[in-house]
Amino acid sequence: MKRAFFVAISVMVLIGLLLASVSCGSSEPTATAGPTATSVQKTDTFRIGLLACLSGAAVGWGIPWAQSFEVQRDLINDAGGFTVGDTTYTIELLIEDDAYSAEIGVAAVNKLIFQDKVDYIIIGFAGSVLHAVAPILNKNEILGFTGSSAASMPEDSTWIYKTSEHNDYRYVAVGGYINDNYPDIKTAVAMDYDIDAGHYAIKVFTDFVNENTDWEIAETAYCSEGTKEYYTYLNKLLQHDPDLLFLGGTPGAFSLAVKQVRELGYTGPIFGANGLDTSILIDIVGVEDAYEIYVPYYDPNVSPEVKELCDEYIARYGEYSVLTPFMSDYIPVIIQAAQQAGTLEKHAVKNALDTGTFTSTMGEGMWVGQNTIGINHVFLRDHIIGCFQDGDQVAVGTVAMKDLARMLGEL
Amino acid sequence: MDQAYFVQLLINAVMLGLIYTLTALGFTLIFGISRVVNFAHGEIYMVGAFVAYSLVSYGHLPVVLALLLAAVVVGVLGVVLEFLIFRPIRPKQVGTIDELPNVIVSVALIYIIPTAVVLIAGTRERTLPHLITGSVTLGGAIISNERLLIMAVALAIFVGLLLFIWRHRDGRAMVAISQDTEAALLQGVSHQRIISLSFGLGFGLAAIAGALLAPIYFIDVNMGPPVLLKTVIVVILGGIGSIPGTLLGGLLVGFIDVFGQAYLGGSLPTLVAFALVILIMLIRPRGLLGHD
Repeated sequence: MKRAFFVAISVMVLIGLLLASVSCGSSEPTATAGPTATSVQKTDTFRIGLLACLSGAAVGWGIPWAQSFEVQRDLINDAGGFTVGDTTYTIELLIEDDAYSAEIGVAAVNKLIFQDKVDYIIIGFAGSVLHAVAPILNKNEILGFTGSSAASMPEDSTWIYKTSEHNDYRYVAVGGYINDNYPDIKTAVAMDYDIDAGHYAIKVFTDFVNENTDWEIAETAYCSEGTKEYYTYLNKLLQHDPDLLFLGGTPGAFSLAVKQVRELGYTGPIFGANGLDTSILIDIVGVEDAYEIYVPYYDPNVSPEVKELCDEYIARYGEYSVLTPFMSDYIPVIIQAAQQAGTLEKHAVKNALDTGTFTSTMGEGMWVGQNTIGINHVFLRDHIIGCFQDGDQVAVGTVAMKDLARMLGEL
Repeated sequence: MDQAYFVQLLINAVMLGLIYTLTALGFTLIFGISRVVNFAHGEIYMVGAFVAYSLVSYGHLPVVLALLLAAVVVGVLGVVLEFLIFRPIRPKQVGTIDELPNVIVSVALIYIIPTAVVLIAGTRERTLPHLITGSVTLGGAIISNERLLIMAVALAIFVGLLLFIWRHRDGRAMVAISQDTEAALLQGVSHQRIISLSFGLGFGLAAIAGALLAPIYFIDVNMGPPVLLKTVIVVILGGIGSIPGTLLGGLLVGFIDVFGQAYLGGSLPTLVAFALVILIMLIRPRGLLGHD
């Protein structure tokens, strides 16, 4: 009797164990069973605001700026988006016009934050807009990414990141190249517009000259905004028989100044403050007079990612824009930070931006800026120096980002 | 002052002064006949340059022909705009003036025209081929033949306009209407036709001024507003409705611009010009050669 009881109990336990193992096993997906609800990737939309000068004086830069981001968005979305954690995101760009105006920029940012509820905003390169909207972003803990070329950063801007380097870095790179390759330069002159950006550009150039070269700046000239008659200013500058001419301004204004100074007989090297499209310079200046012009160079062929971006931009809009390689790191840096954080939650992404390591579309990247703006929020990458010759813009030198950082006391 | 530098400044001042004169003549013509203050006049100057560019680039016309044709095309545009926009808002009763609707419309055009240009042509800067090449040396200064040609063409247009105003029936009708509209109507002058003609001529003058400078500068969608500013200064200084006054005002502003940039720099020349405007309005409100 006892033996039968124990046998019955054992059999029941065995059956119970067997039933338990079968029920647990059936809840796990098998390789041959096909996808189940728990294996399907989640999808979501990553909404990011973008300020661009779609009207007003800087519309010539603002529209290509916005279009470049639209192209990059489409390339990323068409490739399936990007993955953070267990979620695949497609990008939605919410583009607002800032008209290069602080007031309109503030209104646009308020709309993006309080109406559209974005946590990420890409600000353009207008310093006045940056300074106006930065307090709003910082107060509301919204991540801002700017391309402003001015070295200044609004106070307590812990939520603002300069995803492209400002003039101090560019001028050290280009100026250093000129200083190394033109040892006979003794006298330099400079010309830019009589606006904040123009005064700042010449100030940075002057600081570079005083700290790094033996050149003497004989004269500086500030043109009234909107003027296209540079003969007056250029004649004054050329009276000093300079060995180097520093020129700022928009691509068209710069090109026109080059044209006019060549007409006046100046044959020396020209230091350009900003990168520009080859075709604009050649159109206005002509091939014969477009020589020995050194500028920060945003090479469209520097990497497969940048080339794809530039090729797609050209296919879509019919012409190249220097802003396309210029802005190529903004969204990729955000994606890298989110992937390192494992989430798009803004505080976690901010922490990743501050502590993580990043690559740029041009190779390595690093955050610097403590010495120039008081916070390591400037994304630095290798800097290429371009020179116009024979109707084309070619890379004549590269300054490694760490060398650049050392030159500016960041390392 | 270095002689060569002075000659360079002088040539540039006269060239710019004559261009300002052409633009201001168009502005004052429209205002004098129709009492419309065309705040979009700078944008018309810009459109003239773009039309000339289009005729050269896409129509493959010679530059000189493109400049002249641009003036005609934009002049026709002026007539059409007058018919479609300004005429319907004009008071029906002759002699009645109501500026507000005109102001609102012309201010709206300041935004509509450049936006339309951006949509059609994009934002990229453009330029025209040279009219002629080469240079001469005058008083030690190197002066491009092109700048001398622009001066000559601008002067010729000015003289042509003067002859039209003095000798042609429609020109004299314009003078009559600007002086006394009702009396002119009693003499059988067609008010509507002369207004249309003033818009056509006014737009055409602004257009050719913009197109003439295109080969030596560059064309961009923002080139209008600075020109409007200069135009208003010229008209006030010279006297509204006075053609010789407009020439004097234009040359004066050209000199202030160029010599002011040479010796004051930055934005101070504009400040000087506006200070002069205020002075003229206080001392001689009708302008240097304006009529009472």
